[in-house]
Amino acid sequence: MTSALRPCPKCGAAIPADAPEGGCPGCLLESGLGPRRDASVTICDLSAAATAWAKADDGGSAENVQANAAAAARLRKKPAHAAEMLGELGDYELLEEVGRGGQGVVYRARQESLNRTVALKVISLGQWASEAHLKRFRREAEAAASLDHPGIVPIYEVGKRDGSCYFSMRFVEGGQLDEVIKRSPISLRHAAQLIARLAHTVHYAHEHGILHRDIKPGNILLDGEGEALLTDFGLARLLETDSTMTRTMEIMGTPSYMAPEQAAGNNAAVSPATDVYGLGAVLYQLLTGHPPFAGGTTYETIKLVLDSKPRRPRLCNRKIDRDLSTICLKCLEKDSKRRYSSALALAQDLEHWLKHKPILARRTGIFTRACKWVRRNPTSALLVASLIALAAAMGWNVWKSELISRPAPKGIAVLPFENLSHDPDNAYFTEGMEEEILTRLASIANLKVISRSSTQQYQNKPRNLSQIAKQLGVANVLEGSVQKAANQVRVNVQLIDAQTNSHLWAESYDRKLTDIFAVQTQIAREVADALQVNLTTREKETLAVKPTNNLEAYDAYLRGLALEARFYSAYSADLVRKVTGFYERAVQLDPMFALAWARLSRADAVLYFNQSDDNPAVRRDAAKRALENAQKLEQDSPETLLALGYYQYWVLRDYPSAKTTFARVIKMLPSSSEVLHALARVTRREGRWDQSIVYSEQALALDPRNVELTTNAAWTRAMLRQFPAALGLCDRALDVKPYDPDVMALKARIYQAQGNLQEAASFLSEITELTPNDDTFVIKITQLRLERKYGEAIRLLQARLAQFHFPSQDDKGRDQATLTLMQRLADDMSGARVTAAHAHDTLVQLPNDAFIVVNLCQVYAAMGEKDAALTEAERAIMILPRAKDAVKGSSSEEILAFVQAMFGENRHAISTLTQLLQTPYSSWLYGPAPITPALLRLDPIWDPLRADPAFQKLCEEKQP
Amino acid sequence: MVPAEDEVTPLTAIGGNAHHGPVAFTTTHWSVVLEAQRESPAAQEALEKLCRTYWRPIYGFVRRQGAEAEDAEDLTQGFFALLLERKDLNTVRKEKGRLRSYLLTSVKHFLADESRHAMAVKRGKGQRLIPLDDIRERERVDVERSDRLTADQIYERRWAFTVLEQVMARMRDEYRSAGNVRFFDQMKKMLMDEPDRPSQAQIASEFDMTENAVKQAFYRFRQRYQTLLREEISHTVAMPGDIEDELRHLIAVVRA
Repeated sequence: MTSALRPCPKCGAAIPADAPEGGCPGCLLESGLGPRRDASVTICDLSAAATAWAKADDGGSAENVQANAAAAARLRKKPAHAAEMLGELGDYELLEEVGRGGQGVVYRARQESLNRTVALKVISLGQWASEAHLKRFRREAEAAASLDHPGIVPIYEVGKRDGSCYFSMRFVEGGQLDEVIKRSPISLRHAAQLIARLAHTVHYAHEHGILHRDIKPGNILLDGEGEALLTDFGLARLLETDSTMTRTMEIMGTPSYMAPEQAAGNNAAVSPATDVYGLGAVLYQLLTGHPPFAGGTTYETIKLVLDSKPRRPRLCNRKIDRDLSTICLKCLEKDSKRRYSSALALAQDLEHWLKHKPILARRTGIFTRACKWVRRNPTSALLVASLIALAAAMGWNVWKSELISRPAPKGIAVLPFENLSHDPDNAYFTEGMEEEILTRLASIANLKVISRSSTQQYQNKPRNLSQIAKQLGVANVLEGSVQKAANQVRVNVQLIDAQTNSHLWAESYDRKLTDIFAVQTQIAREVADALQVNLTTREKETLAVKPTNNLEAYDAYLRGLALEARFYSAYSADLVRKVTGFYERAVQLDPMFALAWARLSRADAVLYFNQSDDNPAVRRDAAKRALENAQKLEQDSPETLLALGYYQYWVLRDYPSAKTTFARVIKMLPSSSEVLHALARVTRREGRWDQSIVYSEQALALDPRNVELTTNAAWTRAMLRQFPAALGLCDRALDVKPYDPDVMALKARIYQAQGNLQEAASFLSEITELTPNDDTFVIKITQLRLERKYGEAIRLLQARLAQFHFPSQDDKGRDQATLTLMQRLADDMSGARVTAAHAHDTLVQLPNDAFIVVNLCQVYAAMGEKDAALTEAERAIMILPRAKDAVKGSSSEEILAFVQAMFGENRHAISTLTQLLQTPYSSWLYGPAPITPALLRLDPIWDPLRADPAFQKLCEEKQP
Repeated sequence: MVPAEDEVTPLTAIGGNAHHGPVAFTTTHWSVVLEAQRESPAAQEALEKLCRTYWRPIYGFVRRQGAEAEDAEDLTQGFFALLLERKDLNTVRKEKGRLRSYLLTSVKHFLADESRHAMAVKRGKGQRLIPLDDIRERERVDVERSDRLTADQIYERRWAFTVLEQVMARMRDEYRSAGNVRFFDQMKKMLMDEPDRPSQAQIASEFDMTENAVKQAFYRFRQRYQTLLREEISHTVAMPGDIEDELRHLIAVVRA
């Protein structure tokens, strides 16, 4: 951390070195909030919460309210006329703000009817005031109001007005205990007297069924006579109450004075002994000048509260009497049963001491200390859980509602590991470790594991685990960090039950790089253990697998994996080529590395499928060779089978075989959303639309935040002309990845199909000539064609052809063909001729797949070469018939209709279109959705048919 | 001599209006940008102005993502170049109309996009749309801190600091144009609670004022500061109602 220049004299926070003008940024910004405009109603102040959290982070008070009176007034340097700005609340005239806390603002106020000065606590409204919040406030007030004791600040009135809740209480002149003792430390005797008196007060409250739960110096006021009064029953609860609110329990006290059972979030264990602990902690502060535990942060403080013994007071101050020290430490026992049985017992023992009588408390013997030592160790798990509970409590109302709403099904999400290596280049290693552990977990049948593409979005973001778990639909979360330096690796992992925030398991591994596989295996097994998942023998074997003995090869493999993760949601040929580079290196270094061969085959296959190479045959052969090598080494491993499935799907386009293969893999990896996704895509190609949707939905259930999956499901719906469902899925994807241009373009595409060009345009505004995805770019061009803005379309296409680096020639050929057509529509025949020649040159060099043929067909049609165009259209249908590929097959027929329309074969064209309107498919002409009546109405390419009544009838059809 | 400052304004009036009164909202930059659907020169100018002001959070974010200083400069320039070219901002409403969120989302999107990224570096090279002032000088401090903050945190923090810097710069300009820079410096020290801040009596004697007048002057200084702070924030949000929320967000950021 940067050295701080100085602490802020106002708020005490360290002012960072880079703060503007050296001022305290927090205070400077807060001054913008200023006093309330109209205190009678709009006392909505988030800064209360913000300040409270900030304070809690400093190990200070989360809930200093009423007592801040004098000190706050002094520090705030309020403008002289502050009172005039505050206004009034019912019978009360607000005079000045004297304190703020997690729940409200406290004012010094004058009660008009009785002409007395009171402290008025008003609950903060605004977005943080939930019903539960208000309920809590009222309960607090009721609890406190039922107490009548000279040691308790009396509550006068509880009220509700204009949507605000408030209560008035005695205004205590004087100050908080911690303020007072800062000015003048008190004697040991005085301290004992004070705590004894408070203990009597607390006992009185206990007898009335009320726990304070938040005893700390900030909640103890000293009046003019130096008498101590307890205030702020902010966390007090009626003992017998067991509402939803108390069950869910927020731990919100100040960690420094908090009892371990509270810090651990164990609501059931909170008892009168919890207050005894609080009294002991205050006594400790009075004796030694500091609280029993104070770490630099809330985190550290809680760690200390749970894990450490307090330093013996006598070690801090030799003057402290041994017996007094013993009394104090008895209050601070971790085990509540070992504390005083009641606040009264504490009061009495203190009185014994004051009267120089023998005390009842005994110093801890060797045996007890040993027990304590044993007890300390298991707490690290508890610690993390309680920290999370605490963090969640800081945002309590949001968190609570989510917690109550529904239990997440059993499953686990591996959140992105943190890269703690100094070298940011080692990020790949961290990502790779995460992926490897995830893969191992995914091989366990009884475990639902969220894919990395769904969890990736949580990288570098502050985490609310329960929210994440809810979003992902799992109960457990694995977090971790990886640090790599030379040959040494440190891996930290922790498994958390996100619902209860309990910490199930945590471990830290410091190993040599050579042991890395053992660490992965061990982590996977420990996780399975902690989640009580029984492993089959086969699963145990799978987990223990060591993919290579060559660490350099493994390194290259991990780099490939990390890079691969980056095209989960957007395919990029350049990136995949880089990925293949890494895998190639891996298998070069270790030809026995089956996993790397399998991955290599898949990467090659996807490049082939997407026609990303100028010489696809080379790529096809590479995919085949890599697959064969993987098969030679590990014929039946899930990875090899996956590679086989993708080879059948992407290279052979043998969808039935691919389906059989993927179906085999899903038995081995039942919780793999990836395999289900593959099945959804393969069955879609087969035209088994219903099956495809079922697979999609299963995959999405496993992997709800996966953008690729969601988008693909949207495609399916779009192909089926189920446009509202498709739009819904797009929005879901945009939720995860806002502004994704490809998803936005898909939305635009759907609006186009519905004839809503205006809406469509609004999603295409970011598409430029440099948009990476050509399919997305073409949707923009289609939009301009539908809008008949040929000039703009031509300019954009020309700019792209001049400036864009095409990762593959066929995209370039398509854009040239599109430009030819556009120039033709704009009646620029000479331009069209030049472009057509270029397009032709580009396309004829490429292999004769349907995509290329369709584009050639467009070029011929635009140039008026009827026969050539018809020949190409029929050739496209032959290469990829509907029966062979339900997704793309029909779109060759669409091209045929276009050619027929262009050359006056109306009857044929209309007959083809009639049939297409009944067929689900993905279009060459319009992107991933089929033709619709709206498109027939709008698109100029169908203009030659407009006069035909049969065509007009088609255009009027009711479907979208 | 501080004639303007010594003139006492009734405090109640200030209290009522000075910083909670309606800010002249129609003219703020971000709302102009948002309202203009396409290609309005005013919107373009407003956006440019905002980019000039808020480049540091972006730069800090890019740096934290692992870019070298020079690359980060190019990327930042490239990013703004692209942003300024893309004349309409229809999609902004998704981000609840905050410039801060919009820029952060945009830059993430921008960085995630490999090819656009490369293009931007190329385009950003040598381009100086946005003056990246004293970058090196401040670099050290930023980088030092960055090991413990995420890129998002750095961005948010930088943003909050930039707002404050903007406000202070405007205050200074105002006092400078009134010929009161020295008085400004003293007031600023008081506002910041600087250790070497002068006492009110010292200021009174230095500027030949009564102590009461100093008190009043400081009060107005604070009020002006608050007004400008809210005004600056108003430049970055879509609706007047968002100012308060944005302010609270920034407080939470720097208090974290």
